[in-house]
Amino acid sequence: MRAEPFGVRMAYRKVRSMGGPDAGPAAFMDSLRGLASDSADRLYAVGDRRVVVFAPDGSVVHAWPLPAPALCIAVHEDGTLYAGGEGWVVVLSSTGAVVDTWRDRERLGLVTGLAVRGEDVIAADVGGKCLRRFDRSGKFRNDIGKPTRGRGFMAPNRHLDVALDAAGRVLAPNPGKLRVETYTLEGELVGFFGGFRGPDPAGFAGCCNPTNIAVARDGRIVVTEKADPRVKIYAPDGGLLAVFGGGDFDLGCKNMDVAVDGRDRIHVIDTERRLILTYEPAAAATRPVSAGACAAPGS
Amino acid sequence: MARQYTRREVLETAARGATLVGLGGMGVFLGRKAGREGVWLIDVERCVNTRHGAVGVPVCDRCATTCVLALSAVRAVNDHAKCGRCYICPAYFDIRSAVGPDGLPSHKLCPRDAIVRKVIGDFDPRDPANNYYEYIIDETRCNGCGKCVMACKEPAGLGSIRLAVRYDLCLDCNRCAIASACPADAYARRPLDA
Repeated sequence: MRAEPFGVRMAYRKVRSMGGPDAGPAAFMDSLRGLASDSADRLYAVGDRRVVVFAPDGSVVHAWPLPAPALCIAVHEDGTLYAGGEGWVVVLSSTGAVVDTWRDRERLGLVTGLAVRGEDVIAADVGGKCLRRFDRSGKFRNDIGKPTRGRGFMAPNRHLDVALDAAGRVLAPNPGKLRVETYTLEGELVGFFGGFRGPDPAGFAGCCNPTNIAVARDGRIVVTEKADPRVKIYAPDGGLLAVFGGGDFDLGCKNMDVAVDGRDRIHVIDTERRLILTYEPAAAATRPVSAGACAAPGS
Repeated sequence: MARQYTRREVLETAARGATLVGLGGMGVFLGRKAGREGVWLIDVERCVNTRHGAVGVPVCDRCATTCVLALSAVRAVNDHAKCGRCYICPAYFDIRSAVGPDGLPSHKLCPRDAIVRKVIGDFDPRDPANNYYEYIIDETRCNGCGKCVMACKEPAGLGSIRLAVRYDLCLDCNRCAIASACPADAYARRPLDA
Protein backbone atom coordinates (compact mmCIF):
# COMPACT_ATOMS: atom_id res chain seq x y z
CA MET A 1 0.00 0.00 0.00
CA ARG A 2 1.08 3.56 -0.59
CA ALA A 3 2.39 5.65 2.26
CA GLU A 4 0.36 8.75 1.35
CA PRO A 5 -3.17 8.73 2.68
CA PHE A 6 -5.97 9.45 0.27
CA GLY A 7 -7.19 13.04 0.34
CA VAL A 8 -3.70 14.44 -0.05
CA ARG A 9 -2.83 16.12 -3.31
CA MET A 10 0.10 14.34 -4.88
CA ALA A 11 2.67 15.67 -7.30
CA TYR A 12 4.03 13.74 -10.26
CA ARG A 13 6.93 14.53 -12.53
CA LYS A 14 7.77 13.33 -16.00
CA VAL A 15 10.81 11.07 -15.94
CA ARG A 16 10.93 9.47 -19.37
CA SER A 17 9.69 9.60 -22.93
CA MET A 18 9.80 6.53 -25.18
CA GLY A 19 9.10 6.19 -28.87
CA GLY A 20 9.26 8.75 -31.63
CA PRO A 21 10.47 8.27 -35.20
CA ASP A 22 14.12 7.67 -34.26
CA ALA A 23 13.48 5.17 -31.50
CA GLY A 24 14.35 2.07 -33.52
CA PRO A 25 12.21 -0.89 -32.43
CA ALA A 26 10.34 1.38 -30.01
CA ALA A 27 9.17 3.64 -32.85
CA PHE A 28 5.51 3.54 -33.78
CA MET A 29 5.17 4.95 -37.26
CA ASP A 30 1.40 5.11 -37.82
CA SER A 31 -0.38 4.62 -34.52
CA LEU A 32 0.13 3.99 -30.83
CA ARG A 33 -3.14 3.10 -29.15
CA GLY A 34 -2.94 0.86 -26.09
CA LEU A 35 -0.86 0.28 -22.97
CA ALA A 36 -0.79 -2.33 -20.22
CA SER A 37 1.59 -3.19 -17.41
CA ASP A 38 2.24 -6.64 -15.93
CA SER A 39 3.22 -7.85 -12.47
CA ALA A 40 6.93 -7.56 -13.34
CA ASP A 41 6.44 -3.92 -14.38
CA ARG A 42 6.98 -4.68 -18.03
CA LEU A 43 5.04 -2.35 -20.29
CA TYR A 44 3.08 -3.59 -23.31
CA ALA A 45 2.34 -1.06 -26.04
CA VAL A 46 0.13 -1.78 -29.03
CA GLY A 47 0.11 0.02 -32.36
CA ASP A 48 1.22 -0.43 -35.97
CA ARG A 49 -0.05 -4.05 -36.04
CA ARG A 50 2.36 -5.12 -33.32
CA VAL A 51 2.96 -5.37 -29.61
CA VAL A 52 6.15 -3.92 -28.21
CA VAL A 53 7.27 -5.06 -24.76
CA PHE A 54 9.39 -2.71 -22.70
CA ALA A 55 11.48 -3.72 -19.69
CA PRO A 56 11.07 -1.56 -16.56
CA ASP A 57 14.16 0.41 -17.61
CA GLY A 58 12.53 1.31 -20.94
CA SER A 59 14.52 -1.01 -23.16
CA VAL A 60 12.66 -3.03 -25.78
CA VAL A 61 12.62 -6.74 -24.98
CA HIS A 62 10.14 -8.01 -27.58
CA ALA A 63 8.24 -6.82 -30.65
CA TRP A 64 5.50 -9.22 -31.76
CA PRO A 65 3.36 -8.91 -34.87
CA LEU A 66 -0.43 -8.80 -34.73
CA PRO A 67 -2.79 -9.99 -37.44
CA ALA A 68 -4.53 -6.60 -37.63
CA PRO A 69 -4.19 -3.10 -36.14
CA ALA A 70 -5.16 -3.31 -32.48
CA LEU A 71 -6.72 -0.51 -30.47
CA CYS A 72 -6.13 -1.79 -26.93
CA ILE A 73 -4.30 -4.36 -24.85
CA ALA A 74 -4.53 -6.04 -21.45
CA VAL A 75 -2.26 -8.51 -19.70
CA HIS A 76 -3.31 -11.26 -17.29
CA GLU A 77 -1.44 -12.14 -14.10
CA ASP A 78 -0.09 -15.26 -15.86
CA GLY A 79 1.33 -13.23 -18.75
CA THR A 80 -1.37 -13.96 -21.31
CA LEU A 81 -2.08 -10.96 -23.51
CA TYR A 82 -5.40 -9.82 -24.94
CA ALA A 83 -5.48 -7.29 -27.78
CA GLY A 84 -8.69 -5.86 -29.21
CA GLY A 85 -9.76 -4.22 -32.42
CA GLU A 86 -12.68 -3.91 -34.82
CA GLY A 87 -14.72 -7.08 -34.43
CA TRP A 88 -12.12 -9.19 -32.66
CA VAL A 89 -9.99 -9.96 -29.62
CA VAL A 90 -6.76 -11.85 -30.12
CA VAL A 91 -5.14 -13.87 -27.33
CA LEU A 92 -1.35 -14.13 -27.21
CA SER A 93 0.79 -16.31 -25.02
CA SER A 94 3.46 -14.78 -22.81
CA THR A 95 5.91 -15.51 -25.63
CA GLY A 96 3.89 -13.57 -28.19
CA ALA A 97 2.33 -16.50 -30.06
CA VAL A 98 -1.28 -16.05 -31.15
CA VAL A 99 -3.20 -18.80 -29.33
CA ASP A 100 -6.78 -17.76 -29.98
CA THR A 101 -8.87 -15.24 -31.85
CA TRP A 102 -12.38 -14.29 -30.82
CA ARG A 103 -14.48 -12.91 -33.64
CA ASP A 104 -17.91 -11.56 -32.88
CA ARG A 105 -19.23 -8.69 -34.98
CA GLU A 106 -22.19 -8.28 -32.69
CA ARG A 107 -20.48 -8.28 -29.29
CA LEU A 108 -17.04 -7.07 -30.33
CA GLY A 109 -18.12 -4.34 -32.71
CA LEU A 110 -15.31 -1.90 -31.96
CA VAL A 111 -13.17 -2.87 -28.98
CA THR A 112 -11.31 0.20 -27.74
CA GLY A 113 -10.56 -0.96 -24.19
CA LEU A 114 -9.77 -4.23 -22.45
CA ALA A 115 -9.28 -5.41 -18.86
CA VAL A 116 -8.51 -8.86 -17.51
CA ARG A 117 -8.36 -10.27 -13.99
CA GLY A 118 -8.88 -13.78 -12.70
CA GLU A 119 -11.29 -15.54 -15.05
CA ASP A 120 -12.84 -12.38 -16.47
CA VAL A 121 -12.04 -10.48 -19.62
CA ILE A 122 -13.95 -7.22 -20.08
CA ALA A 123 -14.07 -5.69 -23.54
CA ALA A 124 -15.20 -2.09 -23.96
CA ASP A 125 -17.27 -2.27 -27.13
CA VAL A 126 -18.05 1.25 -28.27
CA GLY A 127 -19.99 -0.21 -31.18
CA GLY A 128 -22.49 -1.69 -28.73
CA LYS A 129 -22.06 1.23 -26.29
CA CYS A 130 -21.41 -1.16 -23.40
CA LEU A 131 -18.88 -3.44 -21.76
CA ARG A 132 -18.86 -7.14 -22.68
CA ARG A 133 -17.84 -9.68 -20.06
CA PHE A 134 -16.26 -12.90 -21.30
CA ASP A 135 -14.48 -15.72 -19.55
CA ARG A 136 -10.90 -16.44 -20.53
CA SER A 137 -11.93 -19.03 -23.06
CA GLY A 138 -13.93 -16.40 -24.92
CA LYS A 139 -17.35 -17.48 -23.74
CA PHE A 140 -19.71 -14.53 -23.37
CA ARG A 141 -21.09 -14.01 -19.88
CA ASN A 142 -23.00 -10.71 -19.68
CA ASP A 143 -23.17 -7.08 -20.73
CA ILE A 144 -22.26 -4.28 -18.35
CA GLY A 145 -23.71 -0.78 -18.60
CA LYS A 146 -26.20 -1.58 -21.30
CA PRO A 147 -29.65 -1.02 -19.82
CA THR A 148 -29.81 2.72 -19.22
CA ARG A 149 -32.99 3.41 -21.18
CA GLY A 150 -31.45 1.24 -23.82
CA ARG A 151 -28.79 3.85 -24.44
CA GLY A 152 -25.75 2.29 -22.83
CA PHE A 153 -22.63 4.34 -22.43
CA MET A 154 -22.63 7.82 -23.96
CA ALA A 155 -19.56 7.90 -26.18
CA PRO A 156 -19.84 10.59 -28.83
CA ASN A 157 -16.08 10.31 -29.30
CA ARG A 158 -16.42 6.65 -30.34
CA HIS A 159 -14.12 5.48 -27.58
CA LEU A 160 -14.61 3.53 -24.35
CA ASP A 161 -12.13 2.13 -21.88
CA VAL A 162 -12.35 -0.17 -18.86
CA ALA A 163 -10.34 -1.27 -15.83
CA LEU A 164 -10.76 -3.85 -13.07
CA ASP A 165 -9.76 -3.15 -9.50
CA ALA A 166 -8.41 -5.65 -6.98
CA ALA A 167 -11.89 -6.23 -5.57
CA GLY A 168 -13.18 -7.25 -8.98
CA ARG A 169 -15.18 -4.09 -9.58
CA VAL A 170 -15.43 -2.75 -13.09
CA LEU A 171 -14.50 0.89 -13.59
CA ALA A 172 -15.20 2.68 -16.83
CA PRO A 173 -15.35 6.26 -18.03
CA ASN A 174 -18.75 7.24 -19.33
CA PRO A 175 -17.34 10.09 -21.41
CA GLY A 176 -20.59 11.62 -22.61
CA LYS A 177 -21.82 11.79 -19.03
CA LEU A 178 -18.49 13.23 -17.87
CA ARG A 179 -17.98 10.71 -15.12
CA VAL A 180 -16.35 7.46 -14.06
CA GLU A 181 -18.78 4.68 -13.25
CA THR A 182 -18.31 1.60 -11.10
CA TYR A 183 -20.14 -1.65 -11.81
CA THR A 184 -20.23 -5.10 -10.40
CA LEU A 185 -19.11 -7.86 -12.73
CA GLU A 186 -22.76 -8.75 -13.14
CA GLY A 187 -23.48 -5.27 -14.49
CA GLU A 188 -25.03 -3.43 -11.56
CA LEU A 189 -24.09 0.24 -11.41
CA VAL A 190 -22.91 0.83 -7.83
CA GLY A 191 -21.56 4.37 -8.03
CA PHE A 192 -19.92 7.09 -10.01
CA PHE A 193 -17.91 10.26 -9.59
CA GLY A 194 -17.10 13.27 -11.70
CA GLY A 195 -19.69 15.25 -13.59
CA PHE A 196 -19.43 18.77 -14.88
CA ARG A 197 -17.92 21.14 -12.31
CA GLY A 198 -16.85 24.11 -14.39
CA PRO A 199 -13.21 25.02 -13.94
CA ASP A 200 -12.88 22.76 -10.87
CA PRO A 201 -10.49 20.01 -11.98
CA ALA A 202 -12.27 17.51 -9.75
CA GLY A 203 -14.93 17.30 -12.45
CA PHE A 204 -14.76 16.79 -16.19
CA ALA A 205 -15.55 19.07 -19.09
CA GLY A 206 -15.96 19.03 -22.84
CA CYS A 207 -18.09 16.76 -24.93
CA CYS A 208 -16.57 13.55 -23.65
CA ASN A 209 -14.17 13.10 -20.77
CA PRO A 210 -12.45 11.25 -19.26
CA THR A 211 -11.45 8.97 -22.10
CA ASN A 212 -9.10 6.35 -20.61
CA ILE A 213 -8.64 4.69 -17.26
CA ALA A 214 -6.26 2.52 -15.24
CA VAL A 215 -6.37 1.40 -11.63
CA ALA A 216 -3.29 1.29 -9.41
CA ARG A 217 -2.72 -1.66 -7.13
CA ASP A 218 -3.88 0.34 -4.10
CA GLY A 219 -7.12 1.27 -5.82
CA ARG A 220 -6.31 4.79 -6.96
CA ILE A 221 -7.92 5.60 -10.27
CA VAL A 222 -5.89 7.21 -13.05
CA VAL A 223 -7.71 8.82 -15.96
CA THR A 224 -6.73 10.87 -18.99
CA GLU A 225 -8.61 13.71 -20.59
CA LYS A 226 -8.54 15.33 -24.00
CA ALA A 227 -8.83 19.01 -24.97
CA ASP A 228 -6.72 19.89 -23.11
CA PRO A 229 -4.81 16.64 -22.65
CA ARG A 230 -3.82 15.83 -19.06
CA VAL A 231 -3.73 13.11 -16.43
CA LYS A 232 -5.68 12.94 -13.17
CA ILE A 233 -5.57 10.64 -10.18
CA TYR A 234 -8.58 10.01 -7.98
CA ALA A 235 -9.00 8.17 -4.71
CA PRO A 236 -11.41 5.24 -4.84
CA ASP A 237 -14.05 7.49 -3.24
CA GLY A 238 -13.74 9.98 -6.11
CA GLY A 239 -11.61 12.58 -4.34
CA LEU A 240 -9.15 14.25 -6.66
CA LEU A 241 -5.53 13.55 -5.73
CA ALA A 242 -3.44 14.86 -8.59
CA VAL A 243 -3.56 16.66 -11.93
CA PHE A 244 -0.48 16.72 -14.13
CA GLY A 245 0.95 16.46 -17.62
CA GLY A 246 -0.95 19.46 -18.96
CA GLY A 247 1.91 20.89 -20.97
CA ASP A 248 3.55 17.63 -21.94
CA PHE A 249 1.23 16.37 -24.64
CA ASP A 250 0.44 17.51 -28.15
CA LEU A 251 -2.79 19.51 -27.90
CA GLY A 252 -4.34 17.33 -30.58
CA CYS A 253 -4.09 14.20 -28.44
CA LYS A 254 -7.21 12.23 -27.65
CA ASN A 255 -8.02 8.84 -26.16
CA MET A 256 -4.59 8.63 -24.53
CA ASP A 257 -4.28 5.20 -22.96
CA VAL A 258 -2.71 4.93 -19.53
CA ALA A 259 -1.12 2.19 -17.42
CA VAL A 260 0.17 2.09 -13.84
CA ASP A 261 2.98 -0.23 -12.83
CA GLY A 262 3.92 -1.67 -9.47
CA ARG A 263 6.51 1.05 -8.92
CA ASP A 264 3.67 3.57 -8.97
CA ARG A 265 4.84 4.93 -12.29
CA ILE A 266 2.17 6.16 -14.66
CA HIS A 267 2.68 5.62 -18.38
CA VAL A 268 0.60 7.67 -20.82
CA ILE A 269 0.44 7.70 -24.62
CA ASP A 270 0.87 10.89 -26.62
CA THR A 271 -1.29 9.75 -29.53
CA GLU A 272 -0.20 12.49 -31.91
CA ARG A 273 3.55 12.13 -31.46
CA ARG A 274 3.28 8.38 -30.73
CA LEU A 275 5.28 8.63 -27.54
CA ILE A 276 4.93 6.99 -24.15
CA LEU A 277 5.51 9.47 -21.33
CA THR A 278 6.31 8.11 -17.89
CA TYR A 279 5.59 9.92 -14.62
CA GLU A 280 6.50 9.07 -11.09
CA PRO A 281 5.52 10.59 -7.75
CA ALA A 282 7.41 13.69 -6.68
CA ALA A 283 6.85 15.53 -3.42
CA ALA A 284 3.40 15.35 -1.87
CA ALA A 285 1.67 18.51 -0.73
CA THR A 286 -0.87 18.47 2.06
CA ARG A 287 -3.82 20.34 0.63
CA PRO A 288 -6.95 18.24 0.99
CA VAL A 289 -9.22 17.93 -1.99
CA SER A 290 -12.93 17.39 -1.78
CA ALA A 291 -14.33 13.99 -2.51
CA GLY A 292 -16.77 13.69 -5.35
CA ALA A 293 -18.29 10.25 -5.34
CA CYS A 294 -21.98 9.69 -5.83
CA ALA A 295 -24.27 6.80 -5.34
CA ALA A 296 -25.76 5.27 -8.42
CA PRO A 297 -29.04 6.88 -9.47
CA GLY A 298 -31.85 5.21 -7.69
CA SER A 299 -29.59 3.26 -5.39
CA MET B 1 -64.81 13.84 -78.60
CA ALA B 2 -61.71 16.03 -78.43
CA ARG B 3 -61.97 19.16 -76.32
CA GLN B 4 -61.96 22.44 -78.20
CA TYR B 5 -59.47 25.01 -76.80
CA THR B 6 -60.25 28.66 -76.92
CA ARG B 7 -57.78 31.12 -78.40
CA ARG B 8 -57.25 32.55 -74.90
CA GLU B 9 -56.31 29.13 -73.46
CA VAL B 10 -53.90 28.44 -76.29
CA LEU B 11 -52.18 31.80 -75.78
CA GLU B 12 -51.97 31.33 -72.00
CA THR B 13 -50.44 27.86 -72.39
CA ALA B 14 -47.95 29.16 -74.93
CA ALA B 15 -47.01 32.02 -72.61
CA ARG B 16 -46.45 29.66 -69.67
CA GLY B 17 -44.32 27.42 -71.81
CA ALA B 18 -42.26 30.32 -73.04
CA THR B 19 -41.75 31.52 -69.47
CA LEU B 20 -40.59 28.08 -68.35
CA VAL B 21 -38.22 27.79 -71.28
CA GLY B 22 -36.88 31.25 -70.50
CA LEU B 23 -36.33 30.46 -66.82
CA GLY B 24 -34.69 27.18 -67.69
CA GLY B 25 -32.40 28.90 -70.15
CA MET B 26 -31.54 31.53 -67.57
CA GLY B 27 -30.76 28.78 -65.05
CA VAL B 28 -28.53 26.99 -67.50
CA PHE B 29 -26.83 30.28 -68.37
CA LEU B 30 -26.25 31.19 -64.72
CA GLY B 31 -25.12 27.67 -63.89
CA ARG B 32 -22.61 27.70 -66.72
CA LYS B 33 -21.47 31.16 -65.71
CA ALA B 34 -21.02 30.04 -62.10
CA GLY B 35 -19.27 26.92 -63.24
CA ARG B 36 -16.87 28.99 -65.33
CA GLU B 37 -16.26 31.77 -62.85
CA GLY B 38 -16.85 29.77 -59.69
CA VAL B 39 -18.49 30.72 -56.43
CA TRP B 40 -17.13 31.85 -53.09
CA LEU B 41 -16.39 28.77 -51.02
CA ILE B 42 -14.79 28.13 -47.63
CA ASP B 43 -12.22 25.34 -47.75
CA VAL B 44 -12.56 23.51 -44.43
CA GLU B 45 -9.11 22.02 -44.88
CA ARG B 46 -7.64 25.52 -44.85
CA CYS B 47 -9.99 27.44 -42.55
CA VAL B 48 -8.23 28.02 -39.22
CA ASN B 49 -11.42 27.18 -37.37
CA THR B 50 -11.78 23.74 -38.94
CA ARG B 51 -8.31 22.73 -40.09
CA HIS B 52 -7.12 19.56 -38.39
CA GLY B 53 -4.14 20.13 -36.17
CA ALA B 54 -4.77 23.84 -35.63
CA VAL B 55 -5.41 23.37 -31.91
CA GLY B 56 -4.87 25.97 -29.23
CA VAL B 57 -4.93 28.85 -31.73
CA PRO B 58 -7.25 31.87 -31.51
CA VAL B 59 -10.61 31.72 -33.26
CA CYS B 60 -10.63 33.51 -36.62
CA ASP B 61 -13.67 35.79 -36.92
CA ARG B 62 -12.83 37.49 -40.23
CA CYS B 63 -15.89 36.05 -41.94
CA ALA B 64 -18.07 37.87 -39.41
CA THR B 65 -16.14 41.12 -39.25
CA THR B 66 -15.12 41.82 -42.84
CA CYS B 67 -18.15 40.94 -44.96
CA VAL B 68 -19.68 44.04 -46.53
CA LEU B 69 -23.11 42.98 -45.30
CA ALA B 70 -24.24 44.14 -41.88
CA LEU B 71 -24.81 40.48 -40.97
CA SER B 72 -22.24 38.41 -42.81
CA ALA B 73 -23.30 36.00 -45.56
CA VAL B 74 -21.35 33.31 -43.75
CA ARG B 75 -23.12 31.03 -41.28
CA ALA B 76 -22.16 28.15 -39.04
CA VAL B 77 -23.62 24.88 -40.26
CA ASN B 78 -23.99 21.78 -38.09
CA ASP B 79 -23.74 18.43 -39.86
CA HIS B 80 -26.27 16.51 -37.77
CA ALA B 81 -25.11 13.16 -39.11
CA LYS B 82 -21.70 13.86 -37.61
CA CYS B 83 -22.85 15.63 -34.42
CA GLY B 84 -22.43 13.68 -31.16
CA ARG B 85 -25.66 15.11 -29.68
CA CYS B 86 -23.67 15.66 -26.52
CA TYR B 87 -25.06 16.39 -23.07
CA ILE B 88 -22.57 19.22 -22.63
CA CYS B 89 -21.64 20.47 -26.07
CA PRO B 90 -18.46 22.56 -26.03
CA ALA B 91 -19.78 24.57 -28.98
CA TYR B 92 -23.01 25.43 -27.19
CA PHE B 93 -21.76 25.93 -23.64
CA ASP B 94 -18.79 27.87 -22.40
CA ILE B 95 -17.37 24.82 -20.67
CA ARG B 96 -14.92 26.97 -18.70
CA SER B 97 -17.74 28.89 -17.04
CA ALA B 98 -18.94 28.12 -13.53
CA VAL B 99 -21.59 25.53 -12.84
CA GLY B 100 -25.11 26.91 -12.95
CA PRO B 101 -27.96 25.90 -10.64
CA ASP B 102 -29.02 23.23 -13.12
CA GLY B 103 -25.60 21.60 -13.04
CA LEU B 104 -24.78 22.83 -16.52
CA PRO B 105 -22.27 25.51 -17.54
CA SER B 106 -23.68 28.89 -16.57
CA HIS B 107 -22.72 30.60 -19.84
CA LYS B 108 -23.23 29.85 -23.48
CA LEU B 109 -20.37 30.15 -25.92
CA CYS B 110 -22.20 31.91 -28.75
CA PRO B 111 -22.19 35.67 -28.21
CA ARG B 112 -25.38 35.97 -30.27
CA ASP B 113 -27.21 33.03 -28.68
CA ALA B 114 -27.59 31.55 -32.14
CA ILE B 115 -27.60 27.86 -31.19
CA VAL B 116 -30.74 26.13 -30.01
CA ARG B 117 -30.43 23.06 -27.74
CA LYS B 118 -33.29 20.56 -27.85
CA VAL B 119 -33.59 17.23 -26.11
CA ILE B 120 -34.09 14.30 -28.46
CA GLY B 121 -36.91 11.93 -27.59
CA ASP B 122 -38.25 11.50 -24.07
CA PHE B 123 -36.33 13.43 -21.46
CA ASP B 124 -34.89 11.40 -18.57
CA PRO B 125 -35.51 13.74 -15.60
CA ARG B 126 -33.70 11.43 -13.19
CA ASP B 127 -30.42 11.80 -15.01
CA PRO B 128 -30.08 14.77 -17.40
CA ALA B 129 -26.79 13.31 -18.63
CA ASN B 130 -28.69 10.30 -19.89
CA ASN B 131 -30.14 12.20 -22.82
CA TYR B 132 -29.15 13.16 -26.31
CA TYR B 133 -29.49 16.73 -27.50
CA GLU B 134 -29.89 18.31 -30.89
CA TYR B 135 -28.00 21.52 -31.62
CA ILE B 136 -29.57 23.72 -34.29
CA ILE B 137 -28.00 26.88 -35.67
CA ASP B 138 -30.43 29.80 -35.79
CA GLU B 139 -29.26 31.40 -39.01
CA THR B 140 -31.21 34.57 -38.36
CA ARG B 141 -28.81 35.21 -35.48
CA CYS B 142 -25.57 33.57 -36.54
CA ASN B 143 -22.96 35.89 -38.02
CA GLY B 144 -20.32 33.28 -38.79
CA CYS B 145 -17.93 34.35 -36.04
CA GLY B 146 -16.52 30.82 -35.85
CA LYS B 147 -16.44 30.40 -32.08
CA CYS B 148 -18.65 27.32 -32.11
CA VAL B 149 -16.74 25.93 -35.08
CA MET B 150 -13.42 26.09 -33.27
CA ALA B 151 -14.95 24.68 -30.07
CA CYS B 152 -16.44 21.73 -31.95
CA LYS B 153 -13.22 20.88 -33.72
CA GLU B 154 -11.45 17.66 -32.79
CA PRO B 155 -10.19 16.73 -30.31
CA ALA B 156 -12.51 18.88 -28.17
CA GLY B 157 -15.57 17.94 -30.22
CA LEU B 158 -16.39 15.90 -33.26
CA GLY B 159 -15.91 18.58 -35.90
CA SER B 160 -19.52 18.59 -37.02
CA ILE B 161 -19.79 22.40 -37.29
CA ARG B 162 -18.19 24.34 -40.13
CA LEU B 163 -18.62 27.71 -41.80
CA ALA B 164 -20.44 28.01 -45.11
CA VAL B 165 -21.37 30.83 -47.49
CA ARG B 166 -25.11 31.36 -47.87
CA TYR B 167 -25.60 32.18 -51.53
CA ASP B 168 -29.01 33.69 -51.02
CA LEU B 169 -27.29 36.34 -48.93
CA CYS B 170 -23.90 36.62 -50.65
CA LEU B 171 -23.64 39.60 -52.99
CA ASP B 172 -21.02 37.74 -55.02
CA CYS B 173 -18.70 40.74 -54.98
CA ASN B 174 -15.94 40.68 -57.53
CA ARG B 175 -13.43 41.51 -54.83
CA CYS B 176 -14.73 39.80 -51.70
CA ALA B 177 -13.72 41.53 -48.48
CA ILE B 178 -13.65 38.24 -46.58
CA ALA B 179 -11.39 36.59 -49.14
CA SER B 180 -9.02 39.55 -48.94
CA ALA B 181 -8.90 39.28 -45.14
CA CYS B 182 -8.78 35.50 -44.81
CA PRO B 183 -5.43 34.65 -43.21
CA ALA B 184 -5.40 31.08 -44.52
CA ASP B 185 -6.56 31.63 -48.11
CA ALA B 186 -9.50 29.42 -47.23
CA TYR B 187 -12.14 31.78 -48.59
CA ALA B 188 -11.75 31.74 -52.34
CA ARG B 189 -13.69 31.62 -55.57
CA ARG B 190 -13.64 28.12 -56.87
CA PRO B 191 -15.42 26.39 -59.73
CA LEU B 192 -18.48 24.47 -58.67
CA ASP B 193 -17.11 21.30 -60.16
CA ALA B 194 -13.81 21.63 -58.27
